[in-house]
Amino acid sequence: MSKDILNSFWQEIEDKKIEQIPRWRFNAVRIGAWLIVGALGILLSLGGAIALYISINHDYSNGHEHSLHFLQHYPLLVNVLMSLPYVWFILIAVFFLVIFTAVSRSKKGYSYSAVRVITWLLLTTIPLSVVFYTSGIGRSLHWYLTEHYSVYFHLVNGNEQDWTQPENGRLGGKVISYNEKTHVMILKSFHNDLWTIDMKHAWSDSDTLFVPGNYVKILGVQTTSTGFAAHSVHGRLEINTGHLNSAEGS
Amino acid sequence: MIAVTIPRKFFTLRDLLPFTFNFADIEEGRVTIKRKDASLSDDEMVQLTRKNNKEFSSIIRRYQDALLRYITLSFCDNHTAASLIQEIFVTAYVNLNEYDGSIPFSSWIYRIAHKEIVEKLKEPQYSQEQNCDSSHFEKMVKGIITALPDCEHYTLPEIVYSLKRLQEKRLDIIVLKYSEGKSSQEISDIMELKHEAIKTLMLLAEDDIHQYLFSI
Repeated sequence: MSKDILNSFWQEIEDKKIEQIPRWRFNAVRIGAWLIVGALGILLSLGGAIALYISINHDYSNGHEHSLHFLQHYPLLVNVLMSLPYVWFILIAVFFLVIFTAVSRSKKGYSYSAVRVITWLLLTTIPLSVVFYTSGIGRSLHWYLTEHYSVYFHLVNGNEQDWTQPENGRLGGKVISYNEKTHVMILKSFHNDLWTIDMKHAWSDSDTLFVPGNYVKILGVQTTSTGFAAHSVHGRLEINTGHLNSAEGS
Repeated sequence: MIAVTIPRKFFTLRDLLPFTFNFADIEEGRVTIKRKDASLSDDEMVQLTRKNNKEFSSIIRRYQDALLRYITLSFCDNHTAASLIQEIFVTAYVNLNEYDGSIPFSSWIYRIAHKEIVEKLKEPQYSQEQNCDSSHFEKMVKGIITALPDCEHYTLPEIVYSLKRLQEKRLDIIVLKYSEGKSSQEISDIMELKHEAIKTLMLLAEDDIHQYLFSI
């Protein structure tokens, strides 16, 4: 029997010209799979960085009480709840789930416990998210997506949405030009519409804000369909909500 | 004790021989000549095969009996077993470079065998219960009786019948444990299931055997 098996084995190998799969192909598949998992991990961390940026840098100064009546006595909580970047939270959860499934179903996935995979994922993606956030990558990506993709603009609950409510006295965007003589500013809103801002009665944190290319947030009154009278002007990154609220009150 | 310095050339010559012997044995007046592959570890045999394909014969020689025994517990007729073992070795040969040493080689080759058996059992002609001779299961049943002393009051055919009533996965685990002597970690590697799952399935399988035998 022993000889039979050996003979018929080599006979089949010879007859069918069977060859071994080279090692590099297995390595390529293995490395490719880990690269995909790594790329998904980076996407997950970028999502985390954007979510961090939106959550931390939100003004939390707008009234959202109308949609959460049962929490009307806790306005700050309502503002926080209404302003969190849920879309990013969902995307992060999806990426997390995809990576978890991919690792669990990998060739060696059976040997990893779920707790181990989740711990490993959290330990790698959370610090990476913080690095992406502190290095400004999260902010740049969020700004880029807001400016270039209107779907993203409408989906994400960032400051940009709050500051695209001219009817409620809030308008933000990029300074296109500013005429010091006529005190007129041309502003491209976060929603990419052009606005003419009357700055005669406006005060600002700093005059350097009016330099073309800067992003500003303006409190004031809408005068026409593309006209706005400014009361105060603030930098885009400012998160001093108390200051904004007092300005709003005045 | 005589210390003998053997020139490097001699070692090279000895490496070329298809058999091994121990110098100490020669001094004591007895010589045991073994096939060279018998003294090699699995990983060494894999390394040799990567250098020279023909060395795969050593792997076949080492595993053919064990795998044949494993197969015949699922497929009783010799013809099917012979063709299946051929397929298993061809698959192992083709994919040998996939083996990276992260699990024991024996688990790796048993994993291939396990997959081939599962695939084969899906074919309609094998999905029906096969009438195997109880003697196929004799070694395994002895193992079961040692581990589960309650079973010793029952006859071989009764225990075999209780095994045939087990769910496929549970039977696989019992076979790997009691016929092939695999540990739960090895079974986990072979069946690609979590270690905890194997332990649970093992308990369930043993419980099923008990329940059936007690109901007789």
